[in-house]
Amino acid sequence: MWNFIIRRLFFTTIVLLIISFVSFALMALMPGDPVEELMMSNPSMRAEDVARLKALYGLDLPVYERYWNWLTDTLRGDLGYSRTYKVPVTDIIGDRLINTFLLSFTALGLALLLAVPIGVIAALRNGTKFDYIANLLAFAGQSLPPFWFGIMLIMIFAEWLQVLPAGGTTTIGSDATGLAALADRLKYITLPVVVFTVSQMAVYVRYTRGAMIEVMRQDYIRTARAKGLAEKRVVFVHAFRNALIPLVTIFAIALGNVFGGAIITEQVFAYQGVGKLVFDSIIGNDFRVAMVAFNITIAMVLFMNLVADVSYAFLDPRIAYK
Amino acid sequence: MTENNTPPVTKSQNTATLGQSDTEKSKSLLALFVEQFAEHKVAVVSLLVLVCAGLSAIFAPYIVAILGVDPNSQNILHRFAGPGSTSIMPAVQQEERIELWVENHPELTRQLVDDAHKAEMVSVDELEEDVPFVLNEVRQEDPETFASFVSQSSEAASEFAALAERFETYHILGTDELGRDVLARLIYGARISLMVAALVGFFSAILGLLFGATAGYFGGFADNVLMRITDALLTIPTLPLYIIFAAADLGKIPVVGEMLEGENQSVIKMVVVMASLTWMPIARIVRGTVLSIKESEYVLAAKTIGLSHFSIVVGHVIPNVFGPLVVAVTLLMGDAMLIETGLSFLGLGIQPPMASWGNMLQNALELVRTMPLLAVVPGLMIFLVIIAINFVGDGLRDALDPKAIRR
Repeated sequence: MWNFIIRRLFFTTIVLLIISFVSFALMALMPGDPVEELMMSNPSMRAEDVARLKALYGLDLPVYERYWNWLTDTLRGDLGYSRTYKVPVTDIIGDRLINTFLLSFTALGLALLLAVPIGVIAALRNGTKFDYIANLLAFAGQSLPPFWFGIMLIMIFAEWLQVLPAGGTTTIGSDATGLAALADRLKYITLPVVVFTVSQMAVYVRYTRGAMIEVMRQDYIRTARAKGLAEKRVVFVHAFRNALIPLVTIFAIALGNVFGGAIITEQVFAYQGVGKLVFDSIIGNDFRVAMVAFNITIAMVLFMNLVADVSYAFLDPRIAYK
Repeated sequence: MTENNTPPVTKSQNTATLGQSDTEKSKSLLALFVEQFAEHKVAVVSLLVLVCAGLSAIFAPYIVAILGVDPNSQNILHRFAGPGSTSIMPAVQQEERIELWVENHPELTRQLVDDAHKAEMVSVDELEEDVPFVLNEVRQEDPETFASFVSQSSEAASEFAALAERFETYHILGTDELGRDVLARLIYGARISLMVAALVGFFSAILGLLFGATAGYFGGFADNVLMRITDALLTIPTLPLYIIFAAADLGKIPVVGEMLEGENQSVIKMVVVMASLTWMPIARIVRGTVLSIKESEYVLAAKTIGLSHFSIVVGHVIPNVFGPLVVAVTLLMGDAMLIETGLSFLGLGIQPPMASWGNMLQNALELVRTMPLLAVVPGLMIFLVIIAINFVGDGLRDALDPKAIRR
């Protein structure tokens, strides 16, 4: 088991290194490094000054050397300065991470709370109207473009009904504390949470339903029924617990993916999370921030995948990891 | 299933149906497939939706020509016109069109000038090249005189009238923030969005087949390496990567840069990047199928009667991979469309003025206030088409999977 974890950890680290290099190289291909931008704003700059500045910032080195410098700086804890915000990158990332955690965990929790019972009921009533409608809605949820769904919610709740704000994280300039501050956050987070919940629910409903139907066909369910157990006990103790196994994996993967998937939702609602930071910094050419935000997102996903694999092994003793 | 499981009643029913089907003509695989697919009503309706969308995408130039509108012609005097409104082309554009017509039809122009002089529509001292423009002014100021002139004169005049008629356009769904026809842009947007989805599906199917079949067929070291790469790529969240790829200037890379030149640059870039990040599930499916088929009795039988590797692959492996492959590619096309429209919405996908359903929503957050219809319709189209793709995929899965045949 430990052997397996260590091997996967090693593998994950390699993947992370490769991705960080690829992202570094791609960002180097983006138009406009700091010196080029200086040149644009000041055409009378002399060529030797440009060369001197490039050498000073290490921009004249080949990509792999620049990547090595960045990597060693980062591992030493020096994340550099943000060109847009004019503060150290470490000062920005923390708050953004908390905001994204708040958004995605609320949505994830809600999605599971709603989707798992729906999936179980749909599976137990396989073929009924309830199953049919649940399936139809799951398909709809899976096909709904999240950005458009967000726009529609803004149109209805912010524009027409005017009950919720169209975007943002907190009321700007508000100095409310305690419960008032919480209520303020709640107002802003509601619509993004709805969008995020709906877009994830679909997958859970379909997975729970599929897993439950599969399990209910097993011989041990028939045995449990044959020995006269109450249906309730058969469903919850014998069936549901086994159906949970694939669900845990999906959950762990989703946990990682919420970081990647939050980008569009956060962008539509101007919610100040890591996803929006990834997008804004890449668009705004804020190189240092982009590298850190992007790679944190990737690392999160890879780590969660690892957790998924390990938890799978704990839950399902049939799987042996060599 | 053991004998004991089947109660005697069903057993006799079974033999009864068996006897019946013996006398029936056996059905071809295709007929069985069509029958199965038709049973999934929602999938059939979805297929119809997709066919309609596909046809309007293919015949977009003709449909738009019939409607008499153009997806890219702007008219700042008629921004945000409501559905069912008409707009008149700005005078400068009208003159440009007339100049172009005169250039392309010198014969007709001469005839038109003659007619105009004969009918005394213009004064004699008017310069010859000004005549069409004067006629256009007459048309606008005094339509009745112009109409009678057209009816009395030769075909040149009616050709000219037909040209002038197109200066006034009817917008079924209104116009957008630049005065462009929304319906025309929707139809052209279908073209781009469906094309990107189809191309991504096609290329990742090829990549998936290539990698999956190689890994499955050769096994051993090749399998190990290819599957590790597949696994690694599968764990990466794709959306942030797409954003980086979209923002990076790939034109700076030597070989790729040359491929990306021209006006279709953003389309090609999207397809290349997306196809290279979506083939992994397909490779896995293909590999799994190839692995199981390789060990099957009928392949062994085929080998015993001396069939070559090639005919085994073509005759046994490909038909068996085909089913799951089609399903996977269909579902992937839905995802591809979701990603393309999402990126285009963020401004990183298909670049304006080319219309895509995603980039039509780029300003949607402001449009919500001024013209909600513009924020609703493109998204609704995306939603409809993606849900249709997903249902068709579901129907295909039911129809192609022999285990799922419901009797």
